[in-house]
Amino acid sequence: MNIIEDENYHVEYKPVNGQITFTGTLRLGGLSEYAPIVDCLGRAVNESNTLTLSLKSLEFLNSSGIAMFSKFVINARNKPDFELIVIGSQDIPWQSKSLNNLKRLMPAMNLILE
Amino acid sequence: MDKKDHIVARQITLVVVGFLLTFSILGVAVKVVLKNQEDNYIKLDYLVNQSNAKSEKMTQLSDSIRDRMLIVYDILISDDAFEIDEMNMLFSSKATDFIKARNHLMSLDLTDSQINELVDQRKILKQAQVTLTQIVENAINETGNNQVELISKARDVNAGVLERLNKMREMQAKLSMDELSEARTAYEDTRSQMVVLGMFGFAFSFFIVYFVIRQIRNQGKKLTALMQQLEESNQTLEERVEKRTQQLLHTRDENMRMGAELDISKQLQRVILPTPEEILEIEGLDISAFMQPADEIGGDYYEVLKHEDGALIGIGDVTGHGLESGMVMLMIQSIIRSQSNLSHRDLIAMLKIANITIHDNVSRMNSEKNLTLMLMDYNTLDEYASSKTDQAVAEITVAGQHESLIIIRNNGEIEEIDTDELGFPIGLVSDADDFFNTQKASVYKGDLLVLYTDGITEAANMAHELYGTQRLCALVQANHLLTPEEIKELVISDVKLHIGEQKIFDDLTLLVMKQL
Repeated sequence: MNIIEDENYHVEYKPVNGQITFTGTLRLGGLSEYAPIVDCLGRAVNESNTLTLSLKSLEFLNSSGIAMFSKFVINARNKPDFELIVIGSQDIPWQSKSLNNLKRLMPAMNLILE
Repeated sequence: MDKKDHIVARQITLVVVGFLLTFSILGVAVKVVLKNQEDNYIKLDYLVNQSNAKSEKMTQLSDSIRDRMLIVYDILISDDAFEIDEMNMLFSSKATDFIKARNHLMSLDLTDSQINELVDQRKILKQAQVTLTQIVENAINETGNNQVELISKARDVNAGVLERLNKMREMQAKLSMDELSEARTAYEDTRSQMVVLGMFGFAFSFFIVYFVIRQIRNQGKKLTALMQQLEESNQTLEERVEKRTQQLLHTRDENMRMGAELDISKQLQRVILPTPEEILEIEGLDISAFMQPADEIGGDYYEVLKHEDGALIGIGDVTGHGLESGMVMLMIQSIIRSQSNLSHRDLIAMLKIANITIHDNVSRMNSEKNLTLMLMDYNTLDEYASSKTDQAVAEITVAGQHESLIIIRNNGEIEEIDTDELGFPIGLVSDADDFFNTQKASVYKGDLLVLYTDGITEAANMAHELYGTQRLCALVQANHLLTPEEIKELVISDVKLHIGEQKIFDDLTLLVMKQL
């Protein structure tokens, strides 16, 4: 399943580019509802040594979503030679602090705030 | 009742149409069979008549020939001239009989081969007649010596003709037999036809009867279903009224439950906040605090705890809303308070304990709550006693990740302490020990310290524009000479002015402190 979406958000994984693009607002209730996205992220890490997460169109992410990304980054940093690129936006309030926290969890991560 | 009458009328119509159709089918079948049988009888009658007539005429022909031969024999053996004369007349009359019979035969429905045969026979008979007439004339004139030879010849010829006539008759008999068998076959065909038609008629009638019965039964069922439906809809109506009543009761219960939860959460948040008396007890600092919960309960937290060296001040924001957020806030308050009276307050150690405790508790709750938390340890310095304005009177140690701390120096200069590198969201990950740091700052007389939650800076207006840190800084900077209470009032009214008619999405928390 490379596309996960509802009326508020759209998550699309393109294995060819090694990129997952998030758009809209993610307010899912708890990690159980984030499970399909967690599976998608896990699959992407297994399938390639480089992964780009494009979050610059993700307007809102709730605390469960931030927890999900934190756990993902903690797992991803254990994979040797894995390159993680996160593209965010400076114009979206939640992103600069939260994405910087992600980078602190995984210093090797390449964070680009556009 | 109109519907029922209509159905009864339809049933009667169906029965009548069914019977009419059955009778029509059977009537047609009987008519066809009778017509065929009549044709067969006429044909058979004709065949029998023809055959009989032919046989009779053929017999007559044979008899005439045989009679004439016998008369010739009689003439030959007679020596009485009168008798010979009379027999001669009889001989001629037999010829007339023969011609009559043959003409009659020719007029019948003969086959081509029969006609040809008769024509052939005529030539042969002519020879025989010539011979016989010769014999008779010789006898009358008493001349001729070859009578015996002649008669022998005539007899042979006649015998041949008789044999051919006989054959013809046999053939005719065979023909009649064939025609008879044909007629019998036609009769049997008709009988089969009758059986098939009868069966078809029977089957069709049966089908019509079945159809009519089925229609009547279906209509009966429909009627029953209608009655049942009516009964059910009455019953369903009752059930629906009952269900809706239950739903309304449930909604009322749910609303009450949610209302109760909201009340509890608000209580949790409020009852644990420092009291005005506690705040007044802090020496050296004039503190004004404000907290307004959002329409949906949030998870803002602030703390002012007096200790022997000054005070421990905390501010935080638990993610999300509701009872769980309130519970986490209660937990963090207890964790911080339990460590605030230690003689050597180690903010990093406090934050590490807070992080692992909240993380583990939140995991147990199967929740993903976490919080920003900044601790500020305020320590008065001994120099405070000397009251020199150019010397620091207190020192603050700041740790933990939260919004920036704004310091407006007594000369109006602004300093911002960014806390992003001083901590990490409490409870987000189990191992965050490396992320906690401290930063120290000196505090001078008249300095203003401003702490706030993102409810202030991210307060949105109708156009979804945020209030912003810059507007807050500018406002407090411009009014830093006012009392903390006045500054707090100014900021809150400015934020509310910005929000306008928009809903308040997040708790608003503001702490304004001034070094006395």
